[in-house]
Amino acid sequence: MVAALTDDLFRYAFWLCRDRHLAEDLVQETLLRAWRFMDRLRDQAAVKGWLLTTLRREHARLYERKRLQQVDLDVTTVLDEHSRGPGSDAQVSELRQRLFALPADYREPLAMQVLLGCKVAEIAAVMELTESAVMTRLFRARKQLQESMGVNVVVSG
Amino acid sequence: MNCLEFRRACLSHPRELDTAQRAHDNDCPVCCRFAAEQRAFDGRLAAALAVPAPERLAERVCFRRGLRARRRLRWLASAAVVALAVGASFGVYLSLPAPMPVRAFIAHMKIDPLQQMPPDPAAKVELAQVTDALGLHWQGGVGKLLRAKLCDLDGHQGAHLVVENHGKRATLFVLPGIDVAGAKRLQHEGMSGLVVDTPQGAIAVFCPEAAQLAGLAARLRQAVRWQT
Repeated sequence: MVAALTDDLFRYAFWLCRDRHLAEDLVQETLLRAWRFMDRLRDQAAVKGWLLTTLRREHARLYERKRLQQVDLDVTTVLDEHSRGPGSDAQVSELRQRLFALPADYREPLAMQVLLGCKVAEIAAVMELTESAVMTRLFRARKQLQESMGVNVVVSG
Repeated sequence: MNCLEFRRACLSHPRELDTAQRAHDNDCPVCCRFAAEQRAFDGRLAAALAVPAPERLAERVCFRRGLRARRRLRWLASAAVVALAVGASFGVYLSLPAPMPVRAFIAHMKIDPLQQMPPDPAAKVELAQVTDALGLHWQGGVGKLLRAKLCDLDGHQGAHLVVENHGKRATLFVLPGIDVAGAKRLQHEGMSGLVVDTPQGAIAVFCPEAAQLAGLAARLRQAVRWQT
């Protein structure tokens, strides 16, 4: 179970904090915590949600504990070469940069939905939001991303 | 279902379209094209979000978990060793004989007035039995022995003797293996007392003249040879 989820958890953590080393620490802490409370995780279906919630809390705790300096990265931020991955084409690379610049409120539900296949209800539960709030964020995230790449998203009939 | 609703749904939850939304997807060619574009965009989005994970991350997490467990085990072992050491020290402390209070001599003289009793002709025989019982060797030289008895002082066995010292009676105690706590000089019903700790045990002398106590105690120390 761990092996199957570790990579996806890492990717989610990466898009949460936008730092590979921090993301790795978050995943490790989350999984170590999960092992401690393994007996409570009887429902396999709930494991993903539990892990995501734990990782989010670890992330929040990390900022509380270390008082990490938060710097808003602008659109021109260059992604770490390791984040590009082998075979990345220019379009994917550009999209990553746009994702990097996307506000965290939009980036996070988008990562959960596209990367982890979470449904709106699951995202709402993890982020402690209403489903309509999640849908609004997802809508704005996709619209903003496409418009930043010069695509005119027409939502009116 | 109108186009606006359908497109909003496409942008917020493209994989969770309900029956009405799927029907609109089939019926409206413009929205169908829009939906196809969004699906293509989501495909690129998925590729962009899928940053490569560090190699063998799961293995490293497992290793770290084992490391933490070992550290916790080591800590528990150390705590157990410390607890055992403290417990053992406390046990040893409790098993040590408590120092005997000096008032035990006075208390004993009150209940056993050997000093007032007439001389015992068989005192030397009694003394031999007492010293044998206590593991002592008596060399004499303290004065004329009048009485000798094996007594119990506050739970400790000792020799209770009465001798003649400078024409007056003196009471002596010899207690092997005993520490005595508290004041070393005493007064009791016209008698002065001196209690002396020695490495092998305690001795106490009582006589009417306080000035004679030190000399008497010194002679008693020389008279006793501790064998234990």
